[in-house]
Amino acid sequence: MRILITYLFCLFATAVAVAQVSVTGKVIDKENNEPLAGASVIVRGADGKIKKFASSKADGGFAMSVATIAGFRLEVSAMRYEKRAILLDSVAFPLTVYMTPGDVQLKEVAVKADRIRAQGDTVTYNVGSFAQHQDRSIGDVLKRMPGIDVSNSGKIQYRGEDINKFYIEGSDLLGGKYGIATNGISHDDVGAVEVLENHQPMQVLSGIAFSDKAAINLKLKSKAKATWTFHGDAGAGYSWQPDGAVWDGELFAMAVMPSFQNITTLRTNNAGEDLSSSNADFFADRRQTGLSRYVGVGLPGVPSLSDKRTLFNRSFLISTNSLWKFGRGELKANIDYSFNRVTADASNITTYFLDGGNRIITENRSGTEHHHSLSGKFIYELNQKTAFINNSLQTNIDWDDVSLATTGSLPNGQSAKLPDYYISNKFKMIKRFKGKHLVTFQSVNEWESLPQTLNLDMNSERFCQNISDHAFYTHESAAYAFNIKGVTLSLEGGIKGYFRSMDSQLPELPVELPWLTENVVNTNYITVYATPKFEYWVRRVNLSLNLPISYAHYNFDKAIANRDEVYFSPSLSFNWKPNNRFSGTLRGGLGRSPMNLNLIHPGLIMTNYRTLKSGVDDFYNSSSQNVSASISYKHTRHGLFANGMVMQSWSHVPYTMAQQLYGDYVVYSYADAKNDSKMLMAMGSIGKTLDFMRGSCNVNGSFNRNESRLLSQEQFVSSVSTSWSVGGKINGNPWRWLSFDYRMDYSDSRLAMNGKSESWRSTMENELSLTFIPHSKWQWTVSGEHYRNEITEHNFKNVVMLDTKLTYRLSKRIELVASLSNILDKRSYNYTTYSQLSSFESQRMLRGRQLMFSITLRK
Amino acid sequence: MLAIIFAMPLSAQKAQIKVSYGYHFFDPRGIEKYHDFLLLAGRDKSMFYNNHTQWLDSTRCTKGGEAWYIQTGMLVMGQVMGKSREEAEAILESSGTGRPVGMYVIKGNGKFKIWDEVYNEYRKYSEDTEERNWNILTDSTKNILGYECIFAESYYHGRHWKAWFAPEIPVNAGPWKLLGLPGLIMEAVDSTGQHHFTTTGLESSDMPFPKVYEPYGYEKTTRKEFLKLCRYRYDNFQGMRDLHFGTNAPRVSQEKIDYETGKPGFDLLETDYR
Repeated sequence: MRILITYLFCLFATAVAVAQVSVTGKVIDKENNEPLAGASVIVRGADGKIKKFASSKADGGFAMSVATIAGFRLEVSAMRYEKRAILLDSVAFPLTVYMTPGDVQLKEVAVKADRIRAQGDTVTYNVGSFAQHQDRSIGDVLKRMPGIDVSNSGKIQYRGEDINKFYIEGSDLLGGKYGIATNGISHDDVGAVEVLENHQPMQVLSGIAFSDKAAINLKLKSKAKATWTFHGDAGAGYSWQPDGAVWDGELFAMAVMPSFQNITTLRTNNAGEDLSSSNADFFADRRQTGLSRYVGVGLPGVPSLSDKRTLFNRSFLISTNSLWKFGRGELKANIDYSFNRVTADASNITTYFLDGGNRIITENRSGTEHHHSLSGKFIYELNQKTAFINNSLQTNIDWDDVSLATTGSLPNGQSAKLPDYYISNKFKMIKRFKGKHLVTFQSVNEWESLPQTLNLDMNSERFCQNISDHAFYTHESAAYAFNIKGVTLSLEGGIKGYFRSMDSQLPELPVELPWLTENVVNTNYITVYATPKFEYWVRRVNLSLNLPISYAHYNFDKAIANRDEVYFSPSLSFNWKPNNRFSGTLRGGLGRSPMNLNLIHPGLIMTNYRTLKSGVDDFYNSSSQNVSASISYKHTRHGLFANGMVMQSWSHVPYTMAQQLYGDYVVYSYADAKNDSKMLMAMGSIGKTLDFMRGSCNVNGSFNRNESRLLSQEQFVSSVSTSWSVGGKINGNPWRWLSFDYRMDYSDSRLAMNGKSESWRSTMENELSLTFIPHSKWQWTVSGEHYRNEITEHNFKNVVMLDTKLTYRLSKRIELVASLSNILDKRSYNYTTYSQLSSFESQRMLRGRQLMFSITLRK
Repeated sequence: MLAIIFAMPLSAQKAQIKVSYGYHFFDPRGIEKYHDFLLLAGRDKSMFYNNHTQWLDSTRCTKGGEAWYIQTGMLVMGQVMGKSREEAEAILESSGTGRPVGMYVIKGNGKFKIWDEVYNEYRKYSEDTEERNWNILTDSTKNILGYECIFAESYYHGRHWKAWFAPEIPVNAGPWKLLGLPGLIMEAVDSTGQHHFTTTGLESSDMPFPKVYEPYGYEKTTRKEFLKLCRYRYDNFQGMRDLHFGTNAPRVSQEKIDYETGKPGFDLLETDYR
């Protein structure tokens, strides 16, 4: 029986085999009649599906067997030959397939590196794949990279957190003044931008102290390395308002050598570009000298239009930065000088909301501000696995003066001289022993002098407010830490000393004010502190607990009673990074802190022609609590970056600011009160690359709610302010001849006082820029902004601004540009803002139409 | 017949198509990494390699190039000293002297010729391209860089590969040693997801196939021997050091050995060497 089945099976199998059709043949090049090897031969069924396939051999031959060939067709194709399709129903095998040479166009996609890629903790962005035609500096391109945010000031954030270092080829040349690089370095010199996640800048702490911050490293192209690169712009033209000549120039030189780096830049313009952000130090610690200006004579700003529309300036900046590497250490010198002259004219109507009826003050202001700033920073740093030494000597000298002439209800002239002298030396040394023990010494010494003079000429009376304010701060500390299997325990102890003296005189007091106007104040303290710290860091989890405790003795030299205080401010943070894509952080803290010592002055100080301030008469401590959670996600292969954050904080201040009117003067003072406030903040952002058009997009949103209580005219005011905003941007290069940038921001806010809500007020801003590239040498940009501000409920103010620019590339090195901005020649802008206790209506000038021709040269 | 013999080398010298691939993989420690590759393919020859590696090797085979390499290398060594492996790799890569990818695969005449490296041990070998038994699922398609790609799957040297190929590009080639489909393989991923190749760019080309330069002494071996050596590097790191430096190689800490060994579950591109 079994034999029979086997026999039948064999018979059946043979029958099937017999039914197979052998598709055989040869592929021949029709032109030279030679066999074509490596051609793709496919048998497709009647349904178009692939049934069999083969590749022609060296002799052009192919052979396949299929069950049937009814309705089947044979397709033969090879690169650079026209494809052949043959119906198999009525052909005889072996076939001879003649192939005609032909140019089959490929849908080409340029062979290049990925736009974003991740390697361990490093995310690399390919600059060339994000840059658009109209971009100049590396900062222009950074803005287009998902996950990276560049604020208007030039400050960089990665996944919602400020970066902690900015490197060029691995060297920290500029410190926090990296705006010079982002605004200056041409994107064409940079190959890639690297983001180093969880970057610990001090090697000695690597593996011991966790960092949740990221650093940025610019990788230059070879052509920009080991040589000097230069570029310069020079532009001149005419402006309709301010009426006259305008200029805009820049020189930028950079050297990146293995043991020497230098960036020197010189910039000047009167075309509305604010240069002060270019040399702002984004990593600057808060000065511990704690001085702040009492005199506040400022020019009015326009909150809802971009600077280039409103700034009437003459600006000059020179900055030179050098870094020398020798042995294992490096020496850096950063020297900047900047000059800024800003003028502003405004008409303001201020209304104070009072129970007994509103009070209205009109003023027309015309002011000029000069700001000179000279700063130098000299750093020696040794950054090794076992030792870290850093000494930074820094000096800043600012000379500011403001003059402001006001006509209207209270005609007056104010002029203020506000220089600032600051010098500091910070020394830090960390040594690591046997890989597990760390010893740290730190010494910080700071000195600052902030003299202020306000001259006021009002109703043919003259007042002069003089203030002399200087402070010295010293802080010495030592710390020891040891690490066992991911657990680090450390104890830091130190002493801080603070010595400040302030005196002020206002010899002629306006008659309405029944107060003392002389202050001689010393606010000194000595603090001893200890900070135990526990850190657990194993694999993907980091837990850190800080328990700083301090004892402070305050001596106020009889201005108010001396105090002894103990402060304890524990904080806890937890970070979880299960993989390279996701990271989550929880933080919480609470504590007590002393008041701002600047508030201690028994007599009045005039801050501007209408406002005087009186100090506290007791020493206060405030307390606060906060919790926050943040998450971030990235998928570099898909170019997707997302982050979100929510924070709630509470603060309890035992005093509150009060406002009293004496004639035309406003006097701010402080009164005992239980002033509690609560703040909720949430924000999120999602960015994505749009590879199909070499672009990227971003959507972001935020929500804020503030509850607080304030005392005004001896009545409590509780206020709740709520605001939310959404924004989005998209850019791309969909066709060879067009690239575009679009941005939209919408925000809405509302204020409720004592339970009575005002209506929501919204602002919306749209910005679109289109660049046409009709020819590789020509480029034409049309751009514009639309602002829609809700001034009162359902009453919107719309402003449209249009610009255009034409660029001609004479050669690789030379570019000629003609630009016309504010084509519609809008010259004024009026708006009203509301604060808790007043409204402020302003009529301001805008920069008028401006025509400029410029030339760009590069080496 | 003579005509064929003479015509063949001429047509074999130039590529018809240039394809860039991104290779995403998980290193022994489970960290996702990425390398760039280039495929040059003609009708009867193809070459899969890293452009930078080829440039570096060719540069080093010139007199001036080697001097530059030594000089830059010394500088870089100074910077790398004492840095973590990741930092050191990043510095090396950015200096131009790093060589993160050591593999060249050349296909021609039914054979692969391979040049590769493990722990600074340089080897070359050849093997048959072998018939593949691809199972094509015509209904499963995916658009890659504007090409309609068809899904196919097959076992190859120990791994189960899923691939998407473009019949519109009639080239029998793909990333690494993957081939044998009636069209260019534009994406391939193994069943564990540890190794993933994707096309990132595609251009027609007239580029001559570059030569493989050998700035190192390459030792001849076989595929299985080479793969065993690769495995040895992870399974017995101290042994690999001894093999490379001689038996007097300084002992390394257990911590370092654990780090180099990586996580269980990691395996090479080919797993049929045991």
